[in-house]
Amino acid sequence: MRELKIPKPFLDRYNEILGDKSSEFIDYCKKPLRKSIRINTIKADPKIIIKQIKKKGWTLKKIPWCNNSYWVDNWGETPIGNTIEHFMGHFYVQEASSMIPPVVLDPQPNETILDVAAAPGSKTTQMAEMMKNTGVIVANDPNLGRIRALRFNLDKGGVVNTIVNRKDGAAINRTNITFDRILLDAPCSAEGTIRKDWKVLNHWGEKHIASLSRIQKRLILSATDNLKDGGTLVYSTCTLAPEENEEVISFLLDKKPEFEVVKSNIKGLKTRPGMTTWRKKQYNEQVKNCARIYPQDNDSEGFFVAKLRKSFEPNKKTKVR
Amino acid sequence: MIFCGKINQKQKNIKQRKITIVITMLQFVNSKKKKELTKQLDERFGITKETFNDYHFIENDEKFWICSQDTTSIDFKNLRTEGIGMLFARKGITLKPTTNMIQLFGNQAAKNIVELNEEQKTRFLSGLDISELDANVDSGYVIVKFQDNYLGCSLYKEGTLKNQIPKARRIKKLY
Repeated sequence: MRELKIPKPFLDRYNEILGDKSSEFIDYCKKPLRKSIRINTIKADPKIIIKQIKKKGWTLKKIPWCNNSYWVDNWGETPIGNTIEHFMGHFYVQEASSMIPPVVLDPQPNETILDVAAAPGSKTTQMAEMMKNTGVIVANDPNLGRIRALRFNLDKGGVVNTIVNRKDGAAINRTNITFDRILLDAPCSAEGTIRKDWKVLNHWGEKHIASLSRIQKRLILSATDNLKDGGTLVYSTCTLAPEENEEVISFLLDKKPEFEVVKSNIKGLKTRPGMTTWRKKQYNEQVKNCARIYPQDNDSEGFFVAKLRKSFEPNKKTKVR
Repeated sequence: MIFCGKINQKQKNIKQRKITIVITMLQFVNSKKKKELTKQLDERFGITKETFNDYHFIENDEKFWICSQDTTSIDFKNLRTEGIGMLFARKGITLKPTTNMIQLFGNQAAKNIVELNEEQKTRFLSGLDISELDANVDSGYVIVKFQDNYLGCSLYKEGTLKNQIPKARRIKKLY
């Protein structure tokens, strides 16, 4: 059996973050990921779909933090995508951790939502479902190829409340549209997805992380310009690198004091608080309220989620360098 | 350097023109046209116009999209729009509903529905035509159904269902 080779700087980094518990994290990185699905209530009745799936001999275990979502075991040789239920768009194959950011954002029917980096659409379709296909989601992505995948998934999910937009996420503030809630699931080094795809480690490196951190800071500053006063922004990544997470949030809090980090209590999910220091850098104390989701805590992918609320004070536009 | 600059400016202008064309091509369907569109669906499939009361439609020269009412609250001309709502139907001599439209609204249909058996369903989902059918439907686009699943749209002519399932959606081996 092929063995996952983890670069030494990666191991050193997690020794620094987790101390003597880092071996547990590394062990989980090597474990295959459990399959999980979310039933699409826009098109299907969950009770009927569960019955049909169980007939195939699959075992379903409820994912506690997201309605109508399940871990699937005993699917044996059956490719989950080669079923009539998947053809019909009755369920969406989505990693359990990736369901968390929309749950934290909690979009409501008839609201106006911005999804800054939407493709391939798992979180956008989840939000559309939470909004009962009403209101409007501006689903943005800069890449045409990824937009095709996004539109395919939106159409398949029966989603009618989206406007797909192709723009650099950092340029959205040039429009004068304001949103009730914004999801920024930022492009990242994807450390948390090693269990799904070992190739992630081929691109991994300290320089790559530093460069992504700069992009993320631009994106979050731009996105916040479009948020209504009193609105909510959720920043998430599928990485655990502090430079791409707490550092980005701390940067925003310094630039825009009208934002505060709100603690998000997620049902049935074990989280750890955000890190206030990393390699001689001191972050804003509020980052403690962010949620670090380690693979070993919930047998999932690694994730980071921060919920930010904008106060009702007047918004001053910040120049992005 | 100057030469390169001119080329870039020219390319930029072309790009800008293309975007403008895409944006101006998309327009909201007015209530008169919506009435005509829903009338066609009622006549062909028995899907009543009330089904679409809560929705708006957008069109270009070739296609119709369906979207939520609130999408009109956004001035999408400020955006670089790649799509609004869900692709609903293609224009032509007769209206051709998309697979996704049938999957979402097919359960509201009352006529021109072809029901497949287990074997036919497997063939249909793999992208094959179904022949020697004895269906009580009119020639033209019909709704294809298996049990409670409205699978999509197909062209029916002289006992044959011509498959219209998009290639990316076909399943070669169904479980």
